[in-house]
Amino acid sequence: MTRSRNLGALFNWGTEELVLIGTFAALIKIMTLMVSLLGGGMNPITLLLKNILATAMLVVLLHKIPRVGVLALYVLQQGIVVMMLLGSGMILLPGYLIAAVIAETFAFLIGGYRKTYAILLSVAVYDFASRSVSMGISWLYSRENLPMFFAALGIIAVGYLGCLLGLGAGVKFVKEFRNAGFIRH
Amino acid sequence: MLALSGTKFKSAALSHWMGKLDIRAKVLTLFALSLSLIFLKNPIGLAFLGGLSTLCLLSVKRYRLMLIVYLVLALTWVFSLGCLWLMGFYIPRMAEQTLAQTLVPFLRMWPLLNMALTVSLTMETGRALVSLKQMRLPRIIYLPVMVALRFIPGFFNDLKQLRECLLLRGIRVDFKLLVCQPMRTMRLLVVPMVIRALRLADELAVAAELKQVGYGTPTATGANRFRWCDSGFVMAGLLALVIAWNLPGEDVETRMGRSGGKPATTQVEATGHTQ
Repeated sequence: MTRSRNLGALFNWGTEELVLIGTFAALIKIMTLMVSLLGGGMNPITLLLKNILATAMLVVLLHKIPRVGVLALYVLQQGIVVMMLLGSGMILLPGYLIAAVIAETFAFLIGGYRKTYAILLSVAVYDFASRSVSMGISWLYSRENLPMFFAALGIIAVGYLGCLLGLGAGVKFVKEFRNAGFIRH
Repeated sequence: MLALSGTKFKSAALSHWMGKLDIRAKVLTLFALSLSLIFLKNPIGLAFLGGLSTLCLLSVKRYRLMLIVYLVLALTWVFSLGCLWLMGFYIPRMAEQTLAQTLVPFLRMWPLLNMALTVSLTMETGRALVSLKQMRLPRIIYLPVMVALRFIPGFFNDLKQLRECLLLRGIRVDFKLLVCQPMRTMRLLVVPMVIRALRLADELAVAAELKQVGYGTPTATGANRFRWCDSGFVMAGLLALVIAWNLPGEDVETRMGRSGGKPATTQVEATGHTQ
């Protein structure tokens, strides 16, 4: 009975939480696009900054809504938005969802989203797992041309470095928002 | 509010036949295409799909953008050839890769890019939201997607305002500032935008609660039904995939060190003959 009630709570979301996830999905997409445009395309600095920004904002979102399923829901929202606006990412979406579920499970095992280190570790796990999925898909599309795959590997590695730096930036942003009263715990 | 409604994109997006198709038809075709491209290795089949998808993109009439995208694709191919040549010095097997082997991933990207550009250039927010509503998705999926799609144009306007505010303070946000002071630039951009987003989310949540958004059953209107032309487009897309799979031509081998054009049976025969 209790277990079924817990499972029910997993799908029972408040309007405020859902709206916030949607707002963040749009905001992260726009901010990363803005940095890409300012940086003049796919250079390492832009790539690094773009990933720092995306990870930092994801850390902020998880601090704002610290409950199981938020990461998976965010990934799903962003997948659908990207699919409809840019027409891409359809093949990546199932893999990213699995990565999000792995990260959620990991966070649950180490104490849940109420602890900052659990949030940071789960985001790091999600980024690693999602990048592994990206690498797999990249190999599937460019398996005949291995140098191209290695170039993609380099880009993904720089992106992951940005994600790791973004965890620190995320903690800084959370401190600022906590001082401003936007994050309450 | 006009910027948020997405109506200003309407006339541009709906002026051609691709714009009149339902977003679900386009996304479904794109999904089938991207799934099929993973396994298709025949250069002729890939070129056939590339040609067909170019026709779709040509109907959007964004020739300059097309030229830029194709130029970038060609440059990436030349860059990969350069990388291949360099890596050939250290890993001799790399140098054995044929031109067909280097070309196939780009042929795979060509139809994918064409269709992705077509979908994104012909997307109209209002119609996409109605289509989403009619898919009877659960509230936890529908509501955030609706918010995200509706607020993307609004956030672009907020970013413009933020840039103007920073200009008034004598700060010009450009590539130089991004490279020289990356953390400061990020802070200048992120903190106001996140605060704006958090406030907006609070206000919107209250409004959504009061109006019971996401709770009611969606009403179907004749204008947003899946029409015969949408089904026809999906069927034509699937037919094109079937033709591409059955076109004569030889699959390009994945492993390095094999000749690009030879089918597996010929190689087995050749080996047997040598023995």
